[in-house]
Amino acid sequence: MMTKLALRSLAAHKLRLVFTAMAVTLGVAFVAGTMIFRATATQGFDTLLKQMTSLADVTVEPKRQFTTENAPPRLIPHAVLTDLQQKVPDASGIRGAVDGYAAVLTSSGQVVGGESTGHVGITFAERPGSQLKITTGKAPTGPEEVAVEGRTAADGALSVGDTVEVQTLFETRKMKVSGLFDLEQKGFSGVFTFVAFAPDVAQKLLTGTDPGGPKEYSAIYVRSKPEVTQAQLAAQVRAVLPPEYDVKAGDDLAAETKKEIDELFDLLNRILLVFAVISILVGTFIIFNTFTMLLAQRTRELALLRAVGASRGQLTRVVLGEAAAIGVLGSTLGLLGGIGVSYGLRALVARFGAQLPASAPVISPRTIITAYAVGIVVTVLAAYFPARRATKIPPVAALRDDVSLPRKSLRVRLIIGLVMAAGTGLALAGSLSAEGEEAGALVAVGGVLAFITAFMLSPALSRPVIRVLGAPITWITGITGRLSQENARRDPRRTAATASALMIGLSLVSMATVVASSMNASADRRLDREFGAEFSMEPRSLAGFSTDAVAKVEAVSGVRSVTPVQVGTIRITGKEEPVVVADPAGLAVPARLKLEEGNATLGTDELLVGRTRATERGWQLGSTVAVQYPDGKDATVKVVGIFKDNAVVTQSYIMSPASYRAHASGNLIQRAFIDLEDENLTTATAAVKSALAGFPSVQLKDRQDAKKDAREDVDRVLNIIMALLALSIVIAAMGIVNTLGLSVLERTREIGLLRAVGMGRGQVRSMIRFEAVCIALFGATLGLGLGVGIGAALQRAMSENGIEVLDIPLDRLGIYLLSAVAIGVVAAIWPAWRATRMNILESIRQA
Amino acid sequence: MSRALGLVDDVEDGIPGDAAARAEGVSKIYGTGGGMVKALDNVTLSIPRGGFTGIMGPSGSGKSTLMHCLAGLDQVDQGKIYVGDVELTGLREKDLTRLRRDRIGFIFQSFNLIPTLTALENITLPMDIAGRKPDKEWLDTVIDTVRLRDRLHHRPSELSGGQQQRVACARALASRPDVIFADEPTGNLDSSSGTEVLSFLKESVRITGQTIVMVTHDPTAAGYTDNVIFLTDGQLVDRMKDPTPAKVLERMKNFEPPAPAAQAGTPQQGAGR
Repeated sequence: MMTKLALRSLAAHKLRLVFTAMAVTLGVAFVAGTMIFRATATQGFDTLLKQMTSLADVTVEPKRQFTTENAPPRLIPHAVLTDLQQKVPDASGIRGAVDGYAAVLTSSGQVVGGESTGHVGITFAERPGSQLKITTGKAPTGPEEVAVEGRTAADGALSVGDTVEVQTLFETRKMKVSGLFDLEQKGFSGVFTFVAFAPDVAQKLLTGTDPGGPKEYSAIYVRSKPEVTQAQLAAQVRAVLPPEYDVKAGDDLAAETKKEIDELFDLLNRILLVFAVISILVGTFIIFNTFTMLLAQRTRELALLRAVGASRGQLTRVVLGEAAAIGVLGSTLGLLGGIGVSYGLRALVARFGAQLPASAPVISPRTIITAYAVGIVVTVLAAYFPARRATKIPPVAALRDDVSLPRKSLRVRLIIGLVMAAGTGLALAGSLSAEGEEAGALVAVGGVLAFITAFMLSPALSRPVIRVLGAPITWITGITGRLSQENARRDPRRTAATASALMIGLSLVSMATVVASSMNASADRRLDREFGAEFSMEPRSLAGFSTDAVAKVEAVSGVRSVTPVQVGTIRITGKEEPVVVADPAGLAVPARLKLEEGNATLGTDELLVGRTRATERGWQLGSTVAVQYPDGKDATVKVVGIFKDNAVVTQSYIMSPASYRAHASGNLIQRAFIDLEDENLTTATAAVKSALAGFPSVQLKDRQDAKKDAREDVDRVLNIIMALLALSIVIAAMGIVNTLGLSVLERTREIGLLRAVGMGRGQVRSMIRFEAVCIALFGATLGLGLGVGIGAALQRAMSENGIEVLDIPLDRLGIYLLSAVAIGVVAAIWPAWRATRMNILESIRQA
Repeated sequence: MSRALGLVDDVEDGIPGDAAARAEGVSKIYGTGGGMVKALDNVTLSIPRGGFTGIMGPSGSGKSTLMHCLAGLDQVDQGKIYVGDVELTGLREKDLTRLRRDRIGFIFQSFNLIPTLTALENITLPMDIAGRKPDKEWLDTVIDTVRLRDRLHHRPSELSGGQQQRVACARALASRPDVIFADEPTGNLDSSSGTEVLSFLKESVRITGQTIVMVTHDPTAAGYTDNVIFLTDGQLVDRMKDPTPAKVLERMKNFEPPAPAAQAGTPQQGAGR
């Protein structure tokens, strides 16, 4: 009977049902979308890995010291190959391959496929069972010819006969596209870019060795005879080779790669789930609010049920049953919406440059179970408290004329809020005098307390704040505005809960904005201080550029000096770290590098360390540090100097070229600072530019460009945070729609009366619109206040760690405030339409 | 009061200028087929300017429907309605709203006030909606007439039922509309508050010449009016000048359903009480 009642009640209010379910839907969609995204990407990679292992049963590679892409490769001499051919009985085919980093630059200097995608160069060898198939044109033959993979060519709009610039770790060369080819493992297409060279050319370009000399390989692939397992074959190969080679069975290699990918996605997922939880939290507010209102409108019905003998428990179950049904509906829609969200996340990740292998959305049973569990639990939980309160209604209330729910006073909330406010104040005040991590922790505590404070105090704040915010509206629109303001202030709890939902999203957005903007301002200031050169030469691709470009610029008249900088990789106490390979004295002018301790002359196995890093690791002058060079040699290096953190040299370590190059083979330059003679600035600039015209892989950047680059990175992260928070703001907007829609229903008679005494439809619409704007502005004011406050506190806590300037971007915050107004206006469309559609007579007659 | 003669005749004489509102052959039908109810059946009448007119009839007689049609709150199916010299039938929603705002006042049985506004704001509401400044002197007169001066800044929830209805009366009077329509204004009040409200209405007609139309089924209330129109089964059946409660009651007794009306009047109508 009670079930029937719950279902009937739902069926009677389909529209309310849909709106409440929407709040659940969006939150669940985010959670489900995150899970679908993850499962889909994983599956895509699985397919890819399977194709990868089809290459070989066992792969032999030199032990990799570094995973960083531009770490120079180590090679396998041809002798190893012949050794294997003689000594591994179960091998059916042994092949040495030469591959490595190779990017294609278009004539305008753009890197095909983007700078953060992987760029692979391979050897084009036509032999039986070859993986490569030419589709157009012909295979590359001479030193000037390159074949381009089909998808790569499409990305770069390249066709056969085009001249491109190909850049490897060792050389940059102008080449002609001889043909287009297809990979056998099509899954990699689009994930990486591929170019193929004739064997001799590949060796020269990809390994830097002379084709005339001894043959060397970057990897050896071994196939097994049919009845031999990969493990057996691997054991045989391992027995033959010295320990500096990695021998991996195909399946193990796949498993290893999978683990790396999984770890990456675990991290990504955790970040995404934080945002999903925020969306759900916001949704919870909305559901709570909706049930409170729905039940308030049904008090008489509930009292009647009590009067005819239903127990409180039974009524609670009816309401919770309804909630569960809404949860089921919302979760189902959310699951479907999750597919859309997963595509959105994919696009977002793609904006960061990570191309994921294409795959149809994967919805695992775990995703389905989680989606329903989250949707139902959240809805029932959010409905529980309103349900308990509503069923407290005494049975006699059914007989009374004016029924209203018992309400606790706001005093308890006010007191909790004030205590929390005091806590917030203490934590934030404490953070001002604290330093480093301690200050950060105090800000975090203060931030959480501030949120609780805002939530607790929001009902009490709603009346005075809306009076102030609504004043201009009232002043302009007269009675319409006055009525909307009063309506917004009428039920402080309802308004507060609706506005709080918006507050959460906007506070996080504005906090991120203040921090990002402060980071940008700080970077600007440091670059102004420390970008001492006229120009900085920077590579367009990850690898770097050749020393030819440096030599060419050095020869230009009017150039005082060019300081080339190589960014290498060393492993310091087990962790791969970028290291600046340059003479520190040369950096004093272009980067304003300042040594705080020690001296600037670096000998063999000596290191300069940045101030922050030195403090972090507890290093002082004379400290010794265990490092490993790219060639795998372990060494103990001495800290001979500590330099002030620098905005131009952002890496934390500096090592002398002599010391580093003894252990690394690459000779590409990653950066060079150009210092011009002051008297010939204009002509020298033009001369440098024309000198570099032949090097499209080199970008010339001045201080403004450096600032722009710094900004771009920060802004990209900010935009992604905003995109992830957008959903919670949409949910909050739905909350306003819901609250207003139900308010309009509650006030049917009132609106009828207003219409009867001559209020036009347009005025009714404005009245409801302004009410929505008042609520949205209230939420936005709280949110911006919180966000700016916490953001500023964060900046202070991190002022020693690179965010030295506080920048509160009023223009952006103003846009957020205006957006809140727009959200209010949009959210009011449907409730306002409903209000104007009501029949005046029926409205007035309604009991 | 002297003008309370010949309700129907005015129209027939073709002197519409003397009527505050008129109905010409108005019919209103609810439902279709078997469930069809004629709420108003070819009603023609005229509301005299400056008079206090009562519309009486048993439950379901169509008196509320008639009032709603006269006030532009409801559409008629046939016939024409005039307020002053403006024909309501055929007016667009927007113009109807403006007409209600500027030329008509309302007093309902219950829920007459906006709970978020103070008594004074409720009184000036129609003028505020129209964006007009209230006539200060007249407003003072009205407030004093309904004796609300010390209650002006209270919200409706802080006022008694009688006080609330007085605020509603003041709101209707304040904008000096052509006609005030009152729908059972004393229906929810105790008898002393009811008497008070009725006295105001009568007084304001006498002193200021305000036209008021009141729908009621209470003979005592009808006794305050200048003339009464009797409605049964959607048809205008009689009128009475200078009614007294006793006379009205006597007349009402005769309205025991006559034979032909039974078929049209028995089904429940949506309108009125």
